Amino acid sequence: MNIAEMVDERLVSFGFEARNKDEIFEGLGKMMYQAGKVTDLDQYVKGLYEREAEFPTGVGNGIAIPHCKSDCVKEAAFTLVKLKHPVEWESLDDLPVDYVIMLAAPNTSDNVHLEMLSKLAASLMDDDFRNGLKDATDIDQIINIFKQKKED
Amino acid sequence: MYLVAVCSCPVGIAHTYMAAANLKKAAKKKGIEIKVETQGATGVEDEITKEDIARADGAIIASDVKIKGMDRFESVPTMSFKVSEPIKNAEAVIEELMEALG
Repeated sequence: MNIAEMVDERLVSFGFEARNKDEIFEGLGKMMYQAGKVTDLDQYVKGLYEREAEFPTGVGNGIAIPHCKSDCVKEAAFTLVKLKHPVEWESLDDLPVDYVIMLAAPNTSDNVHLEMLSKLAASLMDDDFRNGLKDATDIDQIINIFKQKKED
Repeated sequence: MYLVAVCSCPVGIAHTYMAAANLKKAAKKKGIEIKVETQGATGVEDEITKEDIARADGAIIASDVKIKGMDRFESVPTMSFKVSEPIKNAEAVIEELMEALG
């Protein structure tokens, strides 16, 4: 399986308006809910905050990966959301965040899809992959970037 | 030089694998051989074996949670880091261990 197969256009945005982390959790959580990936919006968003409290998910280079593994997640999913304005996120490199990859992981033994989420996270450490993703302006470009990503 | 490492994090789907990817990338850049075990939501991958330990010059634990099998590393100089440290700067993590090894 390639991660490209998991790209869901309902979870992609090229100019999401949000002023802060709270609006992002709420807004992207709603996208997950409306796309049918999570069954309980409140529980999912609560899970995001609980994980975020362990340590912030701003991983540097303008990217944040808030995530939650919960019974309320129906199937593994991720957002690819470019923000209209960068927001503060207590990132590892202290820079604001302008791209949010929110992950939803089910509490199942569906390891294939969980592994895809992990591969996506690992791929973000690849400069070319990350920059390509952030520069993409349509879904086709995103799919191509995923397809071209070489397996390590 | 042969290093072994274990990465783990609270949820086990993202940071574990980012830290592992960065350690491998940094080691490659420095021309150092490394094996990185990941303890994530999908289980243990690339497990560090007795043979690995016997050959290892040093070990890196990058984790915010208690890792499985910590006792394996008793015979090897081991340094512990937060899982976020190699995500931020994996080369610095490897350098810190190298300096300690002397």
